Amino acid sequence: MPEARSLLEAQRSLAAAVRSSAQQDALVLLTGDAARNAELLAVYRGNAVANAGKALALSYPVIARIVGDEFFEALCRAYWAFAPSHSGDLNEYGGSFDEFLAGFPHVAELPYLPDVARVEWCVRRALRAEDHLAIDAGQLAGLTPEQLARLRFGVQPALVTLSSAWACARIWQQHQPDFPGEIDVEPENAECMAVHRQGLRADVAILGVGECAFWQAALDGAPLEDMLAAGFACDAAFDVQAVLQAGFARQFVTALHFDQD
Amino acid sequence: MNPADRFLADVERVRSVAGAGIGLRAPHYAEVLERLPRLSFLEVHSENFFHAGGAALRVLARAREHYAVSLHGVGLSLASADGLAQRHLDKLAALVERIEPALVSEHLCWGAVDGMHFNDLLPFPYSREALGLVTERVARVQDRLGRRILIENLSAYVQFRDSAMSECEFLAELSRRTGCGLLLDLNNLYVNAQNFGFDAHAELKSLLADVPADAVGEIHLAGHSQGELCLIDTHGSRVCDAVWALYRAAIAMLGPAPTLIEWDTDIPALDVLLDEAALAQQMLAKTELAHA
Repeated sequence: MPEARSLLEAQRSLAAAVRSSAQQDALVLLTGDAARNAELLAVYRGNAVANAGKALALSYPVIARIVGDEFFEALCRAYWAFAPSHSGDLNEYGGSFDEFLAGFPHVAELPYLPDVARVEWCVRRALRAEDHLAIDAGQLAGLTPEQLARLRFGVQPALVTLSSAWACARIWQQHQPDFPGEIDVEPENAECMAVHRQGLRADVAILGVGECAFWQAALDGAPLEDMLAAGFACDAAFDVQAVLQAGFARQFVTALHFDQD
Repeated sequence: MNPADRFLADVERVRSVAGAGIGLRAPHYAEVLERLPRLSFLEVHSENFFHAGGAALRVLARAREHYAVSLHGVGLSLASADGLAQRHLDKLAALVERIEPALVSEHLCWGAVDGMHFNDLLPFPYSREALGLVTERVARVQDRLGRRILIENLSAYVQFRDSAMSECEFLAELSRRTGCGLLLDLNNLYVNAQNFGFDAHAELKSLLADVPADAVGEIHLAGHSQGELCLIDTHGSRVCDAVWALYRAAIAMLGPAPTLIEWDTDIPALDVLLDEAALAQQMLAKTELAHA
């Protein structure tokens, strides 16, 4: 009978068997037939890969639709080897999928995939972000120039802006289950976008470059004056009225804060 | 104070939901809230509600207005030798505070080592060392949550040379040392009995003789499937006759206990779950008469 091992050693041996099929150290810990135990350890390995795959499928439905279910499963297996889970909450698994896709040679002919993954991860986070109460654009109407000079926007917790060399927002929008038309995107068009919540629903909105800079400044906590400067710096024809109207309609703004002197 | 006496309020809560419940899963969210079927409680996986907001949490909060809730954890990894995930425990504590569940449970298992998580319920040798470690962990979790937790027996596919006791002996001793309750998963017990060749009824009897009557805080019933090598605990079918027989034996000894119909893969129509729950409820009603 082999000498008793510490619990930590036993768990490390089992982990190696589940993670990398290195079963030798684990097999000596188990009772019964070694060949049968080897197959049973493979059941655990299969479970771990399948659980991680289910989590990725929930977070990356658009990637799965683009590449097809079978190839997506292969991607999940390869990703599990690239980046194991670090949390007992599987909902946190998959944050580096974009990084993995960027370096994975078999998807090199779909160069926009990493950015689509980035958008999907933001959508996933938006869906689980703290709920917000949006305010109405009408609240800006009565403000004096002196108040406007001290104004900062509070924005919804889910809001993130992204810019991509690819048409990721359109790709995301057209791969939604409720998208009514045929999928028709030219991926080679750079886009700026905002991932945000509309009530409990997450959405991806296409933004102009100035608009994107404007809301990014808000996310950075800048006062309105600096948000405007950021918008005009990127786009000489920046249309403040239209951008504010769209932003309020999309529930970006949740509070008006006024700096004290 | 006797560890069990600390948790009288939790034992009382168990009595208040001693009927049949079902797992609340995403495909049934809308239907459950609309129909509000008669059930003693709803159970969810704690981790699916660890985040700050969104639709799922809204559903749980609305469900909580109508039902007692059981928070069933799958990721705390109580028996991990190299540490307990404090952040995970903090999130669970925040959820417990938010939802005020009737029951809180976790598994007798580990899932992580050296920072890597398998997100699976892995078995370990039932050694003295492991008993010491899990005792300390369960006590820590109960201190953090300020309440009793239930620990569930596992379905396992392998057994360890270094086990100094059976899983049931381990659980009974854990309960004596920490005052924790037991979540008795009868499908897991049956699957293990079949896979490892022991008598499930004898094991059940000896476990229940070994622990205080109020130690069992919940019973899980589920389906399994026949794999190539062994029975696999899939939670993807109806409860089989042999597990119902174990259930009748368990409640005849215990009296009524909160009973969950657990179904996690190939989730069927809500009515199928409600049918199974109604069967459990009928058996509980008979037991109640016998115990009255």
